[in-house]
Amino acid sequence: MSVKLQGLRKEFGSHVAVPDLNLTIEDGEFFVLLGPSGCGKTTTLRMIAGLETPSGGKIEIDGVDVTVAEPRKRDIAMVFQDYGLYPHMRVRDNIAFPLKIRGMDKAAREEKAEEVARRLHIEHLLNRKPPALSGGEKQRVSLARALVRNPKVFLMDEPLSNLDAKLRITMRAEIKRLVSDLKITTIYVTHDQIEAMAMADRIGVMDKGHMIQVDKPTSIYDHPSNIFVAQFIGSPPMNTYRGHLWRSHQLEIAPSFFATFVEPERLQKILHNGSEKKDVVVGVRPEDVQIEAQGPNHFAVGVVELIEPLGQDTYVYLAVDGSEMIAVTKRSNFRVGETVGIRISSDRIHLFNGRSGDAYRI
Amino acid sequence: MNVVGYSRNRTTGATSVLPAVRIVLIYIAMITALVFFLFPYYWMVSAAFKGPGDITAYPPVWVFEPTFDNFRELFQNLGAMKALTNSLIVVGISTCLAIIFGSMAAYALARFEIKGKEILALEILLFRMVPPIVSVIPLFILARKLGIFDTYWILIAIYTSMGLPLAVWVMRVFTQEIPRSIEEAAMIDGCNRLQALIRVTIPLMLPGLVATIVIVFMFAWNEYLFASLLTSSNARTLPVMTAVTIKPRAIAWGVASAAGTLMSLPVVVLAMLVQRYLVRGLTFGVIKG
Repeated sequence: MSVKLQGLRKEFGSHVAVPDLNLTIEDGEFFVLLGPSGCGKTTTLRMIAGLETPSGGKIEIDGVDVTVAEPRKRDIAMVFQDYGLYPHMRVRDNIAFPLKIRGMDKAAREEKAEEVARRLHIEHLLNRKPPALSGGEKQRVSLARALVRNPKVFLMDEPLSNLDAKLRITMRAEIKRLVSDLKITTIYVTHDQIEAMAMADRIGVMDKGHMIQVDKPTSIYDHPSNIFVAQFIGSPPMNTYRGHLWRSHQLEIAPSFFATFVEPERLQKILHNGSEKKDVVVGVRPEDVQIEAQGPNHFAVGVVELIEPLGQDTYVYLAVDGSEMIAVTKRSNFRVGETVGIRISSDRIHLFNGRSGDAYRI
Repeated sequence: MNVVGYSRNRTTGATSVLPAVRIVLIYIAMITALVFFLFPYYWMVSAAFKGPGDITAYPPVWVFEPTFDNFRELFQNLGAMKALTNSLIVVGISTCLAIIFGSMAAYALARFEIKGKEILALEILLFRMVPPIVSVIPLFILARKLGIFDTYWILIAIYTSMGLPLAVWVMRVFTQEIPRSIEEAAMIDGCNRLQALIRVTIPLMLPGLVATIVIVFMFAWNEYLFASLLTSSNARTLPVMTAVTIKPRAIAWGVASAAGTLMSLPVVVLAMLVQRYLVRGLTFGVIKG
């Protein structure tokens, strides 16, 4: 069941939350709307759900125009950030509620509720009420209630945000497994880029109401279309540096060693229209910065300022040529104050237009 | 440490008063509070059944022969039956109206995007801040002109408009306590707005609703100023009738106590009927689902 958004727009008074959104989500796809707070992702999700009326544009679910249809007519299910469970009903009644409203008889819906509860390992909670449940348990009940009807589209609004870190990771895998087994089209909203990378078939990165880039997670990671996406995805964020590229193909930038690392052919392509100079931004992900004990053939060096050992990976904060650079290495014996050699392979360097922020795909 | 009444936690080393001692202390505190609050009430009720000699006896008489003379006086000479009926009708109807319309307004104010919502809400509250005595004379004139002086209508109108702001503001807070996502979940699960209201919102609002009903009822039930000045023999309510028993020259203790007992009965009954909800409603943080 595909979901198609055409020219979708939402205004709140004079504030335009979403100016003009165009997006198609394929049948059975796990699509993640990713972006910082206030970027419009939740507003978009709520418009798809029917909880907000669009100010303009069209929404189609499975080919049917549902732009102004009531939520209950859209055959969707939604999992909320605060779970949205009915506190005055038992868990089994919570789960069976969608079936009850649609007229299923008691025996049939009790059976279905138990079946779904078993699938989510919450059979033992069926007779409890929501206030007596833990966060993770409430989350499962919420999922059970959404699943029980086998809807066309599954909508999730930051369902894992209220859970503690460990639980988030286990639930994340469970949700993905569940949804993939059932092959339900899922639209998932989050601000956590790790969640997005882990779960999505495709990610739509949003900022200030605009869809910046829509692609598979690895593609977004390897080829971000602009600086915003490059810095939003990836942890720690990409190291970026502003500089100028002169007609003479000279790259004026700090740290200056980039001028040597970047291939001249790429710089040539940037200056194709013969301008005097262009503002550029050079980016390299911390995991692509290789640091080694300083040797004689290292012309790129940095001084270690801070070390964050995180178990498997270690984040090393370097002072390089007056700027800061973060590198990620496996366990190592570097010490604060030590000078280390830096090596960056040229194909891991990203180049962006300094004015528009767009990436140069070269 | 073997002091009597104390125990020591072996793990943390904390000293605590034995559970038994704790319970005894708690009961003593409870009984003291009960006596403090209930004694005046008991005194009034017992006085209602005492003859003039027993009431003023000092030292106080605890065991006495009960008499119904005071109540007889109340119902035969002071028109207590009529006053009771009037009170029940006027306060009952105005409370219902205030609650129904107040809750609807509260829901709208809590849920919908209305231009100037906050100003509207404040305006409703401002209404209640006008000292009643300021409006008595204009209302008297109005009642006379409209021909509703000394009828049910004038008091119903006044009590409803006094109860509305209370109902709106208290119910608004209770409604805001209910997360929007619960209603939205109901709408996605298959309810239209009305069904969501009936099946999900109202059951959750019930404790608050009950607390509000009791508050609004009590305020109107005890109201004296408007009742005394805007009614005469026809629509007289219980507080007005009771006031007759307290004259400058002498206070008819027995009859006054009887009147007080009579007046308190409906409220006591109401509170006992709804006490389960009342406790829940007065401890706000119910909704944690």
